Amino acid sequence: MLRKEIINKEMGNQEITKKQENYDYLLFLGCLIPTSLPYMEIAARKSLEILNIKLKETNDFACCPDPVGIKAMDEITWLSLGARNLCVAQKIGLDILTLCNGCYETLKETSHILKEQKETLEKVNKILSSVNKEYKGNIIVKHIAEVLYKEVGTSKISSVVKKPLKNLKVSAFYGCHVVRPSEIMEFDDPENPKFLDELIEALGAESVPRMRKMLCCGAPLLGVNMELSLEMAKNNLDYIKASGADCIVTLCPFCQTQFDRNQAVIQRKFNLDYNLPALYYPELLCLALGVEPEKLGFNLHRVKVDPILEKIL
Amino acid sequence: MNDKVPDKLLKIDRSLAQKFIKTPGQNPYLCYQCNKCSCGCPTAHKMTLLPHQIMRAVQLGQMEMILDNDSIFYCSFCHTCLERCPQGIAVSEIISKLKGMVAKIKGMPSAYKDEFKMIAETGRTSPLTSAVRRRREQLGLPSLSETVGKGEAKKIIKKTEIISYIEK
Repeated sequence: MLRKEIINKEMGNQEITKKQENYDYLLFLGCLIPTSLPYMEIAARKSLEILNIKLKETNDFACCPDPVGIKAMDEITWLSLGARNLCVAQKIGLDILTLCNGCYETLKETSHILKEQKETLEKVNKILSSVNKEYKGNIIVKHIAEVLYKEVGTSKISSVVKKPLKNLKVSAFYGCHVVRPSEIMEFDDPENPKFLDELIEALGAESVPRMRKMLCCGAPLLGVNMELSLEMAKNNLDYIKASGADCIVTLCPFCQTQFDRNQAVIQRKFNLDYNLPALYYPELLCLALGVEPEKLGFNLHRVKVDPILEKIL
Repeated sequence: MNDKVPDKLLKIDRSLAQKFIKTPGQNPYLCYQCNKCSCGCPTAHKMTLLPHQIMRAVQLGQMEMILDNDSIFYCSFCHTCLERCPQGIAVSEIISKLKGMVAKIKGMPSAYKDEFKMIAETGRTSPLTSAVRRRREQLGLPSLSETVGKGEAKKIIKKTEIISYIEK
């Protein structure tokens, strides 16, 4: 069922100009999902497989790297590490599909900057020459939600839904980096995007509005100012609870960490109760597409998903 | 609000603004202090030097004011300021560059040092422990290699100037 082979061909320094016809995208797993949040990976793989998006994989990708900390400390290092990943895709001859907002921003913005700024591209390629790589500037980077929304489309998704998620009230949590900076991400409105709400409704669920829809989850501050980071997540949980939603749906492992892994910490710290399960959109998609819950790793969620499953099944 | 008002004439240093001016969308002199950035900032309530004040400090070359204040590190890089600035200034990107400049003077926050070190050693920022491996196997997910990227990330990090700041 799942693609178990990881095809990793060593091609030396040859440049592949012809795209691989058997695959749609090269999968970029990132760091956090495959290690800490494998349930996100399961749902992504299963949903893309059902929707017939063919993914090639490689062990050659390193950390994207992080668009907040690494970029701030040294932009050229950030660009070079990102460009190295783009070179891996270039050699294989496929565009990239990412599962995480952070990886999406880093790789898309790196490809954008290196396309626009020739001097920067030269600087980066000089550094890449130390690992025998040269970025030619033509890799396209997509987020899984982008592929689902723009290529598969909500009509197609609705048509293959087997278990409409009736009576489910969902709070759509976009996160920041999937839409901002808008001139680079070019994916829906940066202050009031609609695509995730529509993707949720395509499954038969209701996407409930809430205050401060695009408020940052606070995850980038986790290593730097834990208290402030948790306070930001708490503010979001307050707005989500007030909206009457049954659950939160995310697009990013950082937001998912704040709302799933850290919800109990926030509850203890502020002496509150939320009981709001947080799901990655592909998990909700899998449920609607008829995948059995036992196959989706829900037991790995810290905030139990059972109330949601009871509602929809 | 910052109540550290200097009691003598400021020494204006134009070289700080010059570091940003050539990058599109980062000309600090375009800022006319409308405060939209600070109003939309999700962490401004914890800052003592707000985004619009940071912009003013950059215009006037007051690096000491920025160095003496942790506020720039409370920026979560959400880009709300960037989207709302009526002059199209990428405030978040300017703050990001300032973080790098401050780190090179005062030392890099340990969380970021650890990140660089882990990328150099393993190619990842989240460890591939044996528990993680076992769980992946149980879930039927493909196995991951110990290091990714063939150690090339280390070579790249060593080639850039950041290496001297990680080892401090």
